[in-house]
Amino acid sequence: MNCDDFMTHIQVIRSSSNVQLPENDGFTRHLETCPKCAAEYEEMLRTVSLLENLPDPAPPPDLADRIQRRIAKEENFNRPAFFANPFVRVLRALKLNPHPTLVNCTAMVFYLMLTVFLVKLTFFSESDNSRRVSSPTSSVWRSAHVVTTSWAEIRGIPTPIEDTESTMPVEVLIQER
Amino acid sequence: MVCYMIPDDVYVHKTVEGDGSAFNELVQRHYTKIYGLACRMLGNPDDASDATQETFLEAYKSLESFQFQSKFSTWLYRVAINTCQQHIRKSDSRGRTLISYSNSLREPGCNAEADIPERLALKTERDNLIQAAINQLPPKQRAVVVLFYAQNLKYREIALVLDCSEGTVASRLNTAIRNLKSMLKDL
Repeated sequence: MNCDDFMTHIQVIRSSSNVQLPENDGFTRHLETCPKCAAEYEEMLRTVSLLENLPDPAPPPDLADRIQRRIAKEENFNRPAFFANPFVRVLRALKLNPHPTLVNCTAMVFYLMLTVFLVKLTFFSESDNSRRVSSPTSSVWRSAHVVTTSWAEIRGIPTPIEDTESTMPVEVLIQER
Repeated sequence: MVCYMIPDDVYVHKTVEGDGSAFNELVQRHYTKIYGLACRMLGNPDDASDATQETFLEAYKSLESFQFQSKFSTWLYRVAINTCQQHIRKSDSRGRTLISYSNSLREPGCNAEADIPERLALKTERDNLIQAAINQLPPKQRAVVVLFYAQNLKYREIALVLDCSEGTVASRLNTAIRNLKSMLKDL
């Protein structure tokens, strides 16, 4: 075995002389006879020893709490809102598992539509005649009619500030005097 | 390795069924190891804290995709390695420099050494240099070195985590050691 073969095949894994040698005798003999490869081998052993003796980094004391808080926050964020609980039950019964945001949005749209329906049912459900009277459109037309009539009457009545004397012809005035 | 009476899989099932406290138990069991992995991969305690949090968050979100074909810890390591590699890519794009992390190091059973400040300072500096050398490795080699030496995983487990063959793991490890040897020559 020459130095190139030795350097190609040597594999130092642990510092406890755990050398993987494909041809054990050949490697051992070469190590004994070649000081250069022996030095290389020692260097690799020392490197492995340095790696093995690295201390374990100690985590910050509050790291576990921080992780748990972050997960709790994530859990709350991704949990369906309380108003969506009926939907969640229905979806679970159907073995569906959509994203909580989608469930929340669906629930909100549903409740909005329900509110609109109930409002319409409560305030806009009278008969046709009463609706015509009470509807804002008809009242506008009625008031518009009143305004038009009164304006016409005003136009027909002579203005009270009009002075009859000043409007009479001069000849009539002279005759009267 | 710590052995628990109740295996991780039980808590995974409970979490998937909606028991939020079950995942807290998984966090308590594994956060130290994941932080250690992130610290060695990123070389920075702040980034390691962020990466650890993101790892558990990602694991929580995608826990339903865990198929119980491997151990939960192996799956969690895979999530952690992916998260760390994303951080490395971001750091490379930002050109972020390595910050010393030595203050957070724990050395169990080294009280005698801790009594001597000069030796402690020397060891801290040496550890920083080793970490700096690890940071210069390509991410794939770095992952193998950290999983093998810092996390003490076997070839088979590393192959599962990195989704490659055991031969690839051995090859990457050997290349990484040769690279580190040349970088740590003067140490």
